[in-house]
Formats: sequence, C-alpha cells, structure tokens
Amino acid sequence: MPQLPKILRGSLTTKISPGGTPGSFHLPCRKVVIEYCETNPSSKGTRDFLLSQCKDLAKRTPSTEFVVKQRPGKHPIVRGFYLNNRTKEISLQNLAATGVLPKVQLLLDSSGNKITSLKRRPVESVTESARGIWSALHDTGKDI
Amino acid sequence: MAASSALRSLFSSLSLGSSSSLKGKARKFDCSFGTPPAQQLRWLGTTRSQPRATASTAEANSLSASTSVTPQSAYVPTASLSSGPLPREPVQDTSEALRLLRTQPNHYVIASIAGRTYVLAPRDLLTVPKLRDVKVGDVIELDRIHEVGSRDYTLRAQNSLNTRRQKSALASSWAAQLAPSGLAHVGSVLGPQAVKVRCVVAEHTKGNMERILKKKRRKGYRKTITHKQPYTRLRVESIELGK
Repeated sequence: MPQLPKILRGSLTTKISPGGTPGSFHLPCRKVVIEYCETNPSSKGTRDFLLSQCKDLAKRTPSTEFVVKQRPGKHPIVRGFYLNNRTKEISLQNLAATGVLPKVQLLLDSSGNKITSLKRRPVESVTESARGIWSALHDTGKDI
Repeated sequence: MAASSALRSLFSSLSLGSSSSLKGKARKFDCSFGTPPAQQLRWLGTTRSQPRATASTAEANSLSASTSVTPQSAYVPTASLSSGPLPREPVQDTSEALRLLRTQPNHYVIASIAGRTYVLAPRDLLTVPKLRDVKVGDVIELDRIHEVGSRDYTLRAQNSLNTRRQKSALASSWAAQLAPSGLAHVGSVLGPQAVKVRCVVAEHTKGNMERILKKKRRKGYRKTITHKQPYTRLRVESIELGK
C-alpha cells in the first residue's frame, strides 16, 4: 500500500479571489430588513414608503431579499446584510417617503465593506505587473 | 443569482472627458518632447535590453501603426527573453501588432476614465468619482484606451496628423534623449477594433467623513463642514485584443 501524502482538511477550503472570473459579479447586498413602528409619527414616512415604493424596488432587485418587520415603540431603521458577513444600519426616523428610498438605495449600492478613505489609491491590484520589474542585471547601460 | 442583476446593460461608450482635455497624469507634452519621424528610434524589443545610443527610455518600445520609422542605431537586440524573435523594424500593421501581443499571456492598458488616466490590468479595482448614469452590476466598455501592452510589446495610440516638430536646439540634448519617447499624442485613443476593456460597476460608495473647519479670526466666524465624497468602484474584468 503506497504511502499517500497527508492532506489537511483545512487546506481543502477555497478562498474567493478578488475579481474572480469575468461575468461572475453578484450584488453584494443579499438582504434588506426594514423595521418600523405602526403608530409612531417618526415612522410615518417609512410606512408611506412601504405602501407605495417598496414593492417596485423589491421587484427591481430580484437578487436581494426584502424583509419588513415591526419594531413597536422604536424609531424606524433599515438594515442591510452583505456577502462579507457585515451589516449596515441606517436610521429612517422622521424621513419622508421620498427620503427613505435614497437610504435604501445606498444600502443596495454598497458592498458592505468598511468605509475607508478612497482618496489616495485609485487602483487596487492583485495582478503582477505585465512588464515585470526592472533588474539592473538584465539591462544595458544608458549614455547620458 | 439573477442574470439581470449581473448584466443589466452594456454601455458601448462612456465618454466622460473631452478629447482635448486630459488632466491628471496625461499632461500635454511640451514641444521639446515631440517626435518627428526620423528622430526617435522605436524598436520592438524587450524592456530588458535597451538600445544604447537612442532616445528611447526604459519605457515601452512601441509599435507605430500610422507612421513609418527608419532605424538609426547600429545596436539591434538579437536575443530576448520573450517567446518570439524580435522584428528588425517597427511593425506597421495593427493586426500584426495585435497578433504579437496575443502571443503573450499578461496585458495591461492605459485608459482614461472621467478625465483621469490609469494603468489597468484584469481584476483591478478602480475607484473613480461617482458615475451618475450607471448602476451597480452594469458592464462598461472603456472607450478611451491609449495604450495596450504586454511584457515585450506595446501598442500605443497615435494621431498621425498631430506630429510635433522637436526644436532643433534641444534635439540632441541629453534631456531630449531622456524624455519619454513622446509617441502617445494626448487624446489619441485606440479604437474598439484594437482592444476592448470591460469593467463591471462593483459599488457606489462614499469615503470617510471629512471635517473642514473654516475660521476668520477676530470676526466671530467659525464653522465646520462635514463632507463625504461619493465614489464608484469599477472592477476591470477583461482586456480583449481585436483582430
């Protein structure tokens, strides 16, 4: 019986590579939970949104699960659940129905990553340079 | 996974900058950096072995699809670390240039989006100011691509009507020789027949909260402005070379 190499079970897991294959993009927001109060005046805009615009929004984003929950006595919030196991919560208190939609859209547009400064590094790359790295041992001199 | 969320629409052109105003990295070249045809040597060769007595720098030796160049220097790199033999003269035909590029595995492009120029490779995540007319999941085809290259070959856009004459006083100076070969004319783009770069809109997000304090002393004027800059992040999916 030949001695087979040991395979550790932990090494058999796969990691999601950044970028992935072309065409493999999936909306990062998997679930949106809207919590509101039935009587509270701060939830008035949220209630109007749920009655008017929420259904169309849910139809437009079929890959995201929309959940409506009651949260009696509390201010309304919307909670987004993302594929990287993070959540984002936005308060909807005292917002009108027209103001609730941009907040929900903000959750749908996000990837769930923590907000960091995006000012200084426009390109985040995991690919090695196509032209390689210069080496003094493989170059001729230059006359100045 | 709904197909609609992944590929909602395909924009064939996303021209967000005017052709005459490329800001950022692609500055307008000075007259002294212009390249009349007989001046500069453009070799198709490796970046490892540079011809000695020419004005081409450690940057890409480029192919010219539109102008012909006579080789000047006596030094011709004969050996290369690349897969194929090096042509003796710059390649004239774009399809021949693309054939050579296709022989190599990894490519990069230099493209402009929203007025800024970037060096992009597949699987890069690019952050640009928020693009208002795209949704998350949309696939975008870039239309301002100035250069596509691989390890040993480069195809650069050039407008043959826009060649500038180098000032004779600076023609043979060491500064002119060190200057970039100046073959890319600001604003010139490779067409979709040459190369296609597809990006997917990964997210619309905002940056950190910035607090800007304004004050005029002795006037009782003080205020704090809070600001979050909106961004769009694009994932470069593929670089497809044409025929």
